[in-house]
Amino acid sequence: MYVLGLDVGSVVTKSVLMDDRKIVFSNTGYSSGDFQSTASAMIDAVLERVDLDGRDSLRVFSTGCGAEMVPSSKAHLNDISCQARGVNYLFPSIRTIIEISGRSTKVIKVDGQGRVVNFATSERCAASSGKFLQLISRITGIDIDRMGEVSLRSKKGVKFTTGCAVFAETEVISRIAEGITVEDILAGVYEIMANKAFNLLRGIEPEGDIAVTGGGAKDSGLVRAIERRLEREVYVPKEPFITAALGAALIGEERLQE
Amino acid sequence: MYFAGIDVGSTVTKAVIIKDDEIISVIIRRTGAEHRRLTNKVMEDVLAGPGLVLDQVGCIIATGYGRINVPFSDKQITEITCHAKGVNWLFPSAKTIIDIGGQDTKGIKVVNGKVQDFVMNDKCAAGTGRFLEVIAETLGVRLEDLGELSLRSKRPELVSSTCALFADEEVTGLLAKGVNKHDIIAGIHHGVASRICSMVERLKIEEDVVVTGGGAKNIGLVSAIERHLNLSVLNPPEPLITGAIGAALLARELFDKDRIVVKKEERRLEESRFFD
Repeated sequence: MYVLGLDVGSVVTKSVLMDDRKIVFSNTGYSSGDFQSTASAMIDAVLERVDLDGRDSLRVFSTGCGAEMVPSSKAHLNDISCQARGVNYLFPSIRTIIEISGRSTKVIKVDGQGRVVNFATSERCAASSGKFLQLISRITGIDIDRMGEVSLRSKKGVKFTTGCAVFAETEVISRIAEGITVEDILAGVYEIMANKAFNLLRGIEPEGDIAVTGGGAKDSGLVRAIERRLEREVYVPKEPFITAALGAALIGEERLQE
Repeated sequence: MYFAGIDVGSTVTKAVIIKDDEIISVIIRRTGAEHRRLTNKVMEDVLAGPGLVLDQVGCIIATGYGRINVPFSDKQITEITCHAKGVNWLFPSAKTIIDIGGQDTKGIKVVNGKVQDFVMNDKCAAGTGRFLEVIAETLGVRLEDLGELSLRSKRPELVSSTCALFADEEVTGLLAKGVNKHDIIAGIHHGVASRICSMVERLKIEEDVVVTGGGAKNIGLVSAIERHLNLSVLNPPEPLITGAIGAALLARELFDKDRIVVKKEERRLEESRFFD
């Protein structure tokens, strides 16, 4: 039985097709402002790849901020539950998840069955979201996909006096004007974000192994900064974008069996 | 005897000279990247107005975010103390001050010109002048025009984001939907006012309430604050200079009570260069 988990995020939409608890296919694409047509395009891409007897036999479960915009979805699932379940499938030992996405940071405590024990989210502050990295990419002129590796060359990251993305923008421009290297600036930016995640994490008393997911987990500089702040190594899935979509497929499959 | 106060803010630098309980010279200038050169220039100009030289000033107090970088000052005092002093001199009835600066916002409770309690946000651009600057830029209007424009709104459009960057994105979306600027600006003022008020309400607000700083020049923001607090606020004739006035008054007080040793030979006012 094919089940499609569809995570319609503010920036990126992700899909995971599962058959009998095995991942068959996964895909990501930009949410192009219109969640409904983005979702339809993702579903069409799946139908092209997999031999199904038409659209009706594909059972779709949606999550993310645009979950309700998927007309064919059998249920709209909570994104935190999906994230927890998806990570648990990949790494059963994980008890704490840090998800850094385009518009938020979430921290989730999870039990051995992938159930949510506790969570906290930061959705109000751009400095704990991918939005901050986009801004820094623009003012430093370093491609967002390269910022991580560039920052890893830094010997001594800049200590910024602020945790606010807007104020940090001004400080970054001043540091550039002073001739500070871009690697040291980027290392300082990642430290701001790692501090934000750390502060959020303190509120839920994290324990056990820790995984980082979401678009932020693709950034080696950010992951390294988080490890430094936590003074421990973290797990990063090979495809850190798709964990919530994966969880949606898993939870969906269970619901269908009930 | 003359006394001077200079308030080096994150965005604007202000200098005031007083004589016999009267303000005789005021300079207000945007703080640039080169703090030190600008503070020298501002001091030169505030002296030049009434034709004074530095040595004629009995005592000079520096305040504000850049106060440690004023080599001709005799002492530095925090802006919270100076604001309380300056506002009390202008409005002896004031008990609560809301100071909306370029990069921070403060609430101050005052008793007889002294600070009783205060709250402050300098951690986040939301609720500061910076938030309005970001939005003004996106809307393509001047910061100083926001107030007037917002008064033309018939149906304020609420902007739900707290962070200036997210709000900026939201505003771009509203413009794309065809919402008019006046309604967006009115909604923005409502949001900023509600954040400022919820912080200041941690103090027990008592009237009279005085609004100072650059934010006080924005008539739309001030009336949004009045609606939130459900009272009328007082607005100084020049809301930018209350800190500098307070600094000058404290300079006089310290000098008169012999509580400061002024070493005029240690003051350094570097001459400005030709192009300044």
